[in-house]
Amino acid sequence: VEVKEVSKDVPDLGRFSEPALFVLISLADGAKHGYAMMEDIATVSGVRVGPGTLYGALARLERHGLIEPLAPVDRRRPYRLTAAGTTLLRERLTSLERSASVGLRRLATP
Amino acid sequence: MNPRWLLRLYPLAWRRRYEEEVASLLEERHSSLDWLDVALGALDARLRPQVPNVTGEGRTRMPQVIASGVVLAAVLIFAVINNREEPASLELGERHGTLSKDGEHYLVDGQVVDAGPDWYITRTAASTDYDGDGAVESVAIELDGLVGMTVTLGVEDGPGGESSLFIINGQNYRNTDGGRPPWAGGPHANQSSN
Repeated sequence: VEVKEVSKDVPDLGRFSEPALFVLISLADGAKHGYAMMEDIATVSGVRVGPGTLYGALARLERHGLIEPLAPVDRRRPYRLTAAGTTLLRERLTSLERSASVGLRRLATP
Repeated sequence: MNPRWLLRLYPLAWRRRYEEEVASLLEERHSSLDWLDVALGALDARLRPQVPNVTGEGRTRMPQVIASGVVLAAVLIFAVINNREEPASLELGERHGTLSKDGEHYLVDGQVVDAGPDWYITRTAASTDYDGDGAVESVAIELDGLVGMTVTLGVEDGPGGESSLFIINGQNYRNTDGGRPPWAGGPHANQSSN
């Protein structure tokens, strides 16, 4: 029942759900522009996200009100998490943590 | 080449909102993979609009989708060709010791060093006088002239324990750019150069 309630609140981000999660994690410690996000995602998650994929995810996240743009600096525009984005990220990570610990426990069982 | 022109494939509403940012990003880094990624993003933005359309211009129109598909195909071909043209980087090792010969095989300290197929080394003139006898002869005769002598070879180690010969006593035997070997065309392709 709990899983159903969470998934109902989670916007459908299609094939961009994983890059979108990486973007939300990248913005969790503060605002960043596109290039900084790509570098951060590569460092933290070891995943190379291309410009088309990144901005596809950004556009969807912005449309769902999970991130918001700030005033551009030169031609770079930073983004930051909204309150809704912070809530969604916390729910997703908690859910993933739960799944990960179950999986690891099962792997440890002979 | 900067793939900024690919941004024109995106719907107008998307371009108004994100084009400058992505263009700025592409100026900082762009590779064949980025080309492909931007083209795929454009296709996705047309098939599943990400930015609300105020004017209605961005409604998915079939000719634009087809155009996006055509450009995507072109970028795919470009990426494949580009990747094929990039030679694999060689990691050459050094073999130092006495050159010996066992049947058709040349060896240094008991390890086989592959100079190429027999037809190639017997028919192809060496690029220089490797054995220092004053005459530039076929590769096989030059190598035979080095048998029993101490040599330093640049080689690439293969998975089967054989080493491919690239450098003989500091002089290039094969191009070290990682391209195809000179005998790749077969004996008939090579005859015209002899």
